[in-house]
Amino acid sequence: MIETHALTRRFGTFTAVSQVSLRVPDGAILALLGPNGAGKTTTIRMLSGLLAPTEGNATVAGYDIRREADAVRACVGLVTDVPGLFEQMKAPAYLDFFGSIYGLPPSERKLRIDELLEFFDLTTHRNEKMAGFSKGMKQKVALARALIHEPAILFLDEPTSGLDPLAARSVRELIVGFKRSNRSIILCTHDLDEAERLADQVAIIRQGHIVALDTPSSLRKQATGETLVQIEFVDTCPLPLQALAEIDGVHNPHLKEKKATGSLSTVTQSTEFILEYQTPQPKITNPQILSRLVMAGAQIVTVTCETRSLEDVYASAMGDVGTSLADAQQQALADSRQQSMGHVGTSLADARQQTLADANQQTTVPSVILKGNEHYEY
Amino acid sequence: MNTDTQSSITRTTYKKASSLHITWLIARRQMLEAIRDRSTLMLSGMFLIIQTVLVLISVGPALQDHTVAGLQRAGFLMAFYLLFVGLMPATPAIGIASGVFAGDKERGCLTPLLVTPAPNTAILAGKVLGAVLPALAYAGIGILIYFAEIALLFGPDKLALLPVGLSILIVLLIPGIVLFGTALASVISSRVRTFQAAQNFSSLILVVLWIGLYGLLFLQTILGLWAFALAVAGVYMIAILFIVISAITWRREEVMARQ
Repeated sequence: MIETHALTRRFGTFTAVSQVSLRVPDGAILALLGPNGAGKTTTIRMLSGLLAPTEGNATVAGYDIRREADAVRACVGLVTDVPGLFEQMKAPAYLDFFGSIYGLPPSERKLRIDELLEFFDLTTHRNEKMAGFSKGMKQKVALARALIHEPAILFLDEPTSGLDPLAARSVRELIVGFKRSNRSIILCTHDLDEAERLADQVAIIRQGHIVALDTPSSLRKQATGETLVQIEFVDTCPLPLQALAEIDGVHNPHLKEKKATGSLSTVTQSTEFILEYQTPQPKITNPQILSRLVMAGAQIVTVTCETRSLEDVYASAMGDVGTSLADAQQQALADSRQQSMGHVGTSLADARQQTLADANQQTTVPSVILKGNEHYEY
Repeated sequence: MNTDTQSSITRTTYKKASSLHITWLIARRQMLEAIRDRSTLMLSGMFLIIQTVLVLISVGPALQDHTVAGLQRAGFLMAFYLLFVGLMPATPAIGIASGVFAGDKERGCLTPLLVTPAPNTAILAGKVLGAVLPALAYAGIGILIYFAEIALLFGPDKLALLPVGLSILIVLLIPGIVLFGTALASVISSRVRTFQAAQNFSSLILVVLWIGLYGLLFLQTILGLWAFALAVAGVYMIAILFIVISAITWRREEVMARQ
């Protein structure tokens, strides 16, 4: 279990991390998303007992990071984007070195090293110096090092950075395995897809502030609450847009022209149309629209529904809403913490609404990139 | 080993290793790495060759003068080379120390070590010891080879020409210089980001010290042996001061905040 409250770290006048409040239960993965310099690594360094916070407090596996930093370090494992190996050593000697520092008895150390080398498919390379290892193999050794003392908490700072797709996939599979072994994991990553696939909760951090914190699906839903629906016709839409706009739940219906692919002559002859609208309840609205269109003689080719991806949510969070959104988010987080310690987190939409209401002014929400994870076909 | 159920999952924690054990583990690892490091070995080997050639071309002709003044000159020349063979190992010490402090930081090797429960002092002491011991070993081997060279090339009786007081001071100076170089590199390494910067700054300061010591060696006939003895004591005092500064300033917090 990791729990932080208003964690802040300043370097001189620069605030690297500001008022970060998080809760990661046992067996859960929290993904920390944010650009370089957002404060992800500083947060992890504070939580792993390497840096003392300037303000706020946190407990890691039940230990206070200020007063019991030694105990915190004894029960956390840290993997950074750089494996940081002593490359002239062989993997078993390297793991033995760290096992000795953690105080593992020799017999258990040997057993553990053998287990880890086998687990990470490194047994056949046990007599080779690590200098000759590939980046993926080095990262596996770094993971083995982080696991040698069976830590309850894992901090993974961009663990798949620089890995080829196959090696990255195997590391991701391992992370899921760690989660199943009931470890609390904080994963720092730039890879939104990775965060979405692995994490139970996603925290988006910007300029040291948490600007969004929730489950990936909730973040996507709460960011807009609406699904973008596209209906592609063979010819044109047989109903006027006004008739469609009258249907309850249909927002902003409009037609888009799509040039058909093919030779020049084909393009000039056939022009297809796409009806596009947004709806908060596609399961109710879409059947109504489709039945009206079919009755009006529409020849429908495809219907696609797209919700916002985490990338869109991230893009929004990194946009101009910025600091005020963060403040609202943190305020909402503090409120929810007071109400219940069970579920820490609040919606991006709520935070945004609160920000907008407080500011009593119009804020331009950054444009949404049309990508999605939920894809329905009718 | 004990099992802690403070958290909702069963957590295994191990009995913390003693600081002395951790210090030794870190020092041993570094010593092995230093011994295996080809560049350090090549540098030390090069010094040995230079030393042999210099002894052959300069001490040999000096020993041809059998007058009292001539033999005194030969003895002084032998003491000069003794200082040379003693000072040279300080260069690998600086390289090793810069490597294990700034180099490890640059390669990202320091963070995994800092995230262990090892105390700051154990990490620092292990790193200092890991740089000092190989350099001392190189110095010891260098001096033994030097004495062996004189004995083999010119006869064992020629070793008696070495001025006793000065030779003892030079031999005493060697661990001081090694400690000075290591401590200096450790202090500088905690304030720079790269291995290269740490090595360059440390080497620059060490060269100034060498010039001072050689100057004192030549002037000892005028100033007396006490001036050289004071310099030896001064080197030790500065080295200890640097070690103390390192121990005070080299903390996880400090190291991580500078990364």
